[in-house]
Amino acid sequence: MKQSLIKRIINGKSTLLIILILLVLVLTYLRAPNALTKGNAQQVLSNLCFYGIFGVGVAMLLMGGGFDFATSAHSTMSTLVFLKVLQWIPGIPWFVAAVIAIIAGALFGGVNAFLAQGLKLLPFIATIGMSSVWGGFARWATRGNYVAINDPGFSAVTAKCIGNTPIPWLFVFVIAVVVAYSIVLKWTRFGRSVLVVGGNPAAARLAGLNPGRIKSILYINNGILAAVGGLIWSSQQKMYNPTGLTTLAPEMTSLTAAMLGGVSFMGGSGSLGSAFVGITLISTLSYALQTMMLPLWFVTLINGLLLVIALTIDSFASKKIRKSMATTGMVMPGMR
Amino acid sequence: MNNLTRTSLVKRVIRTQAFTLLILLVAMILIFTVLAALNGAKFFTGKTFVGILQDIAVPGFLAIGAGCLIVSGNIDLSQATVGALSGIIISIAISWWGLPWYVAILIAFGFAAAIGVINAVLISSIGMAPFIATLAMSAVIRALMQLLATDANGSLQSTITFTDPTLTTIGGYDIIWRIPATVVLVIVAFVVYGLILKKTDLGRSIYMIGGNRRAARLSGINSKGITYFLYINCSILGAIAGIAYTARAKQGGLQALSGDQFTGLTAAILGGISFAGGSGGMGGAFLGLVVLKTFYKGMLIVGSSTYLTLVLSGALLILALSLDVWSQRRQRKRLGV
Amino acid sequence: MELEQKTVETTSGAEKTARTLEFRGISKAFPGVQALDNVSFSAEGGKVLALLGENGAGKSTLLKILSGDIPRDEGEILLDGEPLALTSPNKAINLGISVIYQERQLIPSLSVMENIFLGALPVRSGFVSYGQLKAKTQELIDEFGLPIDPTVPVAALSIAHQQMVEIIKAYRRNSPVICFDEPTAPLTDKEIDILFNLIQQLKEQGKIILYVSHRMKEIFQITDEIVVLKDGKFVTKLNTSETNEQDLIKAMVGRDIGDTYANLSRNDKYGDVLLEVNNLTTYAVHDVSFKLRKGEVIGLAGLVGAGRTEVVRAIFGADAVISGEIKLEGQPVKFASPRDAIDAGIALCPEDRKEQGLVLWAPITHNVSLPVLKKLRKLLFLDSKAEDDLTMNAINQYSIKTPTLDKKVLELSGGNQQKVILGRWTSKLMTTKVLILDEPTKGIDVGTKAEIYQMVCDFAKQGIGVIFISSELTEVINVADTIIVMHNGRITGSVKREEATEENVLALAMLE
Repeated sequence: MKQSLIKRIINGKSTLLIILILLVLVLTYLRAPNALTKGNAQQVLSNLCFYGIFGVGVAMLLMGGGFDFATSAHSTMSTLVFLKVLQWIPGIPWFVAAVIAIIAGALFGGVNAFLAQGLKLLPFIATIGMSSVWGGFARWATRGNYVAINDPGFSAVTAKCIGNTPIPWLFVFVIAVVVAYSIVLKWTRFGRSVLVVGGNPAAARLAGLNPGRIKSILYINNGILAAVGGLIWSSQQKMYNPTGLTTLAPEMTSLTAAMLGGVSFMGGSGSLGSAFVGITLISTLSYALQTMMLPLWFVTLINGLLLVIALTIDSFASKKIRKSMATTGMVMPGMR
Repeated sequence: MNNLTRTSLVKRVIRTQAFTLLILLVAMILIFTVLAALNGAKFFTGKTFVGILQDIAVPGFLAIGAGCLIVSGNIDLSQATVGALSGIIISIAISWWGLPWYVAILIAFGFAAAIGVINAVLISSIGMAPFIATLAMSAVIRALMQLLATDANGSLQSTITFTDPTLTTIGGYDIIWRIPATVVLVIVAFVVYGLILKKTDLGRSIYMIGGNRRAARLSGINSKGITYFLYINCSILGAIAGIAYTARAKQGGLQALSGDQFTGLTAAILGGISFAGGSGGMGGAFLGLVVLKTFYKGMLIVGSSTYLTLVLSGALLILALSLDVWSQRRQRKRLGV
Repeated sequence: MELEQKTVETTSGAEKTARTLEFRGISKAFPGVQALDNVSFSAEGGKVLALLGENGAGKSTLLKILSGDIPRDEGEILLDGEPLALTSPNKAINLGISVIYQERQLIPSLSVMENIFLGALPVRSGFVSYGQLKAKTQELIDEFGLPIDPTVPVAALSIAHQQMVEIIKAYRRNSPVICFDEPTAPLTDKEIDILFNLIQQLKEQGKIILYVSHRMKEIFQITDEIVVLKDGKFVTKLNTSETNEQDLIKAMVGRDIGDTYANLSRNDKYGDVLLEVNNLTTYAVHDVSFKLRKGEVIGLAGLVGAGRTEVVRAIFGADAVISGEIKLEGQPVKFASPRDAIDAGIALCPEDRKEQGLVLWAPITHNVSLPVLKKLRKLLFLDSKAEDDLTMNAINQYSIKTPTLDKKVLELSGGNQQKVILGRWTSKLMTTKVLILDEPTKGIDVGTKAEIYQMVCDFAKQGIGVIFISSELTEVINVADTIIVMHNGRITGSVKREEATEENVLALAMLE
């Protein structure tokens, strides 16, 4: 017995989040009626382009039961690679450099895959360590300075909008990526095994899957998407900024968003669609807070509290599942 | 009736990671002395060692708090942020609110204890993973800092200076050769906490919780109460570190202690306090800290930049983790598990 | 597609000759115990072979090796004369070995059909075909005649249905070798019938079936041959039709068990009522009432999951009591935590020694002194001399084999580990009135088991009231003075030792 589509939509996590997004928009309109402009809409969508790509990698990894603290450092480092390739090989087309940067991103992700899966270090702490390593390196490379990236083609990628609308062309690409990953997650053997590995690695192993390999792929994928995200960000900012993303900590925002969208911190559940809706909520909210000229502490507090709330909801949901599997000797994997 | 004894002291000492660290420390001093000489600088001087001691004072408190928590199988990533918050609190309490220094410190402790309680609620009562819960808390604390550091005109002050003769005298007081009094304090704290961990029933309970939480609870150990105590303790020690830093710097700042965010953690793990819980001690954590700070100092003298220090601090954290995993594996092998 | 091809291959193979699975000289050691010692025997296709042995005899280890979960130290496993390279569970599955584990290996948030086809989802041109998946699953479920919806998440099913999903999962692989590890524990009679019909079908298809179970009735009902293991060694292989229960038990235990129990020196003088439980209800048990007198040994019998452990956990303050009353020496008590219960004189040796009983990486001394740390305090510090004395007493009293006082508990054998826990609860600093032993003989060799039975009787003689939980029926009905039987969280009956037989206790335990 399948639930009817309408029922599923009403019961779905995304519905609540979409209502919240509308609420944010209404509140913004009430407080600052002039805020709902085309320029602001374009800003929000541009932001969403970066967070969308970046968040998919984080959410995928989370579903597989992993988390990479160094994700934003990977973005910065990949942008550094992009910058250096452009500087060292004059006349190289920007997209070739971008491909090299994305390959570099895969390697950065691979390093963490090696630490977490090969050396079996605690992923949380080990990736914190790596974020410090790459963060220091990224600053050292330009002595902490910003470096402008003046490539008109590169900047145009993120700037061009569809006709007269505030929707960047890139946004279409981002949606396509989210859809493509959703299809992988829902309709391929690999995608399904991600949830299995996240939900119960021991069972996955006994069912003949290779949890180590699947998690490693997810770390590498996270690195690749972090690199793409980093390129999008630097294209929008038209520069290499060694500290910008670290201060922004988009992996935490993505984590919160994914969890609001129902991805469990314990791995093994959730969908990318609702994670994307979660990201949309957070970026709309943070931009709304900005336009309302609210003080910085308020914005920081909202971000922190959202994460705490998402974690609390997740804790209770996991407890409920554990109870339904009671006395079966079922082990819910933790991050430790 | 036969009578058995414990394993001999010598054997036990050699098996500890602290012993390995001691050897590492000596080797490091030798290598840096040679390297520095090659670069035309000097490493083996009184100034260097006084510098290392100065660097230990603040992160020492952090390492103690973090170490105790890790022994019990927990972690607190918000500790250094609590330190920065305490710095802000005493600065504004003294310079904006005109309160005496001891009241300021009491307020800072109050906040720290409250944060410790919240951490413990999230982790012990609600059941969140410690890493992420304390990380989320540090965002909330940062918000609190930003709120407090906003002055009457509504502009955010990134540093707040204050003048209080008593506090700055205590913080800046040097005993001899520019060795600050706080160094003595931190060493005393290391000894006291070392004794608590190894010699008291509370300490033993902490180890047993780290070794097997469920078994400890079923044997009558109040694991929830002790977890609460440890998070509060960790927060308060973070506050002490923040106050020590602020008192010497004569100002509180939003970025205070950010360089030492993971120093306490790294030192504790490097010193043999295992993430598997239930092993290591304060002696190891202290040595870990000394090794860490000697290494940074050495690298600076040999000619590294501050950026490179950041790289190294990350690399050392990973090295410490690898050592932890490696020594666990070696032990397992020795025991044939 | 792939799956259907496999089916054809295996069935055509079975028609040719009966297949064989041969174990040749399998050995495996764990610290402190030789789990398997040069075990050799073979199993034939078209027959059900029972693996029989006491807890710790090596059955599970053998299954784990066969399924590629753990490596063997020595020996070979051959299928149709070909040695198998069982280096990982994945390899084992591909080589045609399916195991249905006692612990369900399911992903709660995924649907029934995905769990059943875990690791082998049907794909069409690279994409998972949910239509095919659902149809195939429905087919399997119909074959079993179960009312399970293939699209609901596993977490929404009852425990029995979860177990059936686990069985279907292994069944659908159509492997030549299928192993069942205590598959009937959570099942009802009706479901057991369904399962046995299925095993019969598998047998007719010429599959090699290994069946591990403790239930004698089932073994005589479904199996053709029996291999008996004892202390990791192969004892004998028998035809089921040519043997009987007594002979099997003799082979499992190595001697007439009647003797062990007959030789126990028991306590026959009971004192006043010590512990009284009235209408105890928790999340897992309902309306449980019983009385324990001084010097009495009460046995709690029942199948796995019947609620025995949950009853004692509630008494011990480890689980919340929803309603009901507990009286200790006539006084109503409410324990908020195990600490309160310990202070009142109740001690619990939990069912899983390693997970709940011991701090494995800590020395013996620390494990013994765990509940009395406060009493060991002298001024500020722990009195390590007193702690050593305490440990020394335990070592002498229970003859624990160890070279030093501070040896890590991890390095001791299972029996010695259990003695460390007994030492913890009976030290001179404890005033234990009620001692609860939850599966104290699990994974322990026969010799030590006999020692532990005598200890239980000795505790009773000292006036301690003992609650003794065991899954081994013979053990409970011979050691305990009164046997209380549980089923589905309720007490279904109580039998005196003199009147207890395996049959009447089992009948109460399996009550519908």
